[in-house]
Amino acid sequence: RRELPDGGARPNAAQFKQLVVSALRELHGEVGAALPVDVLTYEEKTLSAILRVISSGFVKLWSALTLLGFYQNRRCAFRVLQTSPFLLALAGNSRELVL
Amino acid sequence: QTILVVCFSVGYSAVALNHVIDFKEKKQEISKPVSPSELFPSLPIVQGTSKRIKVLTRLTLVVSDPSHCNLLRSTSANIRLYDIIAVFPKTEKLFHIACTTLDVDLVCINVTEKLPFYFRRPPVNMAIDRGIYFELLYTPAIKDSTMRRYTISNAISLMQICKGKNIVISSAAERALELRGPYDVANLGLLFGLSESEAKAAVSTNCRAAMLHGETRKTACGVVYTVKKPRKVEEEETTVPACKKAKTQA
Repeated sequence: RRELPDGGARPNAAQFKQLVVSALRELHGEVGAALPVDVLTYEEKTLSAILRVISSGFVKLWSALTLLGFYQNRRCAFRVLQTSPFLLALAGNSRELVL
Repeated sequence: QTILVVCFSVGYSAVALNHVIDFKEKKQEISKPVSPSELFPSLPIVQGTSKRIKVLTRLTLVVSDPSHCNLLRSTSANIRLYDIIAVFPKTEKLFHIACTTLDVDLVCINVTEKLPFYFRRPPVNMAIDRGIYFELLYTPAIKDSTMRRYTISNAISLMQICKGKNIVISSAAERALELRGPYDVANLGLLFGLSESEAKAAVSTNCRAAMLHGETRKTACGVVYTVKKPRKVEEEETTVPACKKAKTQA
């Protein structure tokens, strides 16, 4: 799950996908941009999304998102809230689990 | 600089379960150490794990001349107030001096331009033995794509020589939006060529160890440098376990 704290611009779902792909292209080139990334959900209000990627491309995607600096000439930052191989695990915070 | 502290607190409180609870405030001084007597009304903020964020002071010396190194010994009254001292060498000789004889905790590695010197193994190994950590900054990688290339190339060449030991990754962020969470930064370590455990250590345990190194340097500061240096080194080593015990108890 990723959250995008922004300066003021609000991208919609398609622009968000394009932002992710352009971040991959900037860092890892055409091979990175060709990585199949799916945006599973996207909330425009909180600017947060859930992305899915193949496990071999996970490091590339995460590093590309971390190093992204600009969106439409504005500073932006991706904040990765949670990562997990299972979708259900994103629903809760496993560190605060009480057994 | 008060803005910086506010930025940091906003950023790291957003990352709920944070490995690196302490963070450092960087003050750039060139040949004029000003004592940070009252930097800011320190805001201890309770975090997600019910511990307070620690704010440490840190001094970075940009040395391009061997005479700058004398500042470390002469004006030790001011320097003692800083928790961590880092040096930023610009030439190979200074890098060698910093790794072998200078009394610092961190050696900054330039990431914004092509290194004018190559790393050599002897000074790097000596630095690792002395407990000095090499620091890489990642904020230029966010700002500019040419700096990104230099960051990665310099980091990779450092990795080849030091095999991933004693690396600390930190941000020289000037705004709140340039900060990244600790797991993101550990992932960047993977890009630089570290293994996964090393990358995570670069963000958490190595930083802690650098802090402790700074503390031992502070406590053993009363000794005269010129002749009694071997004894001072022994004193440092005996204070390290005490400090570590105090930290784990606190």
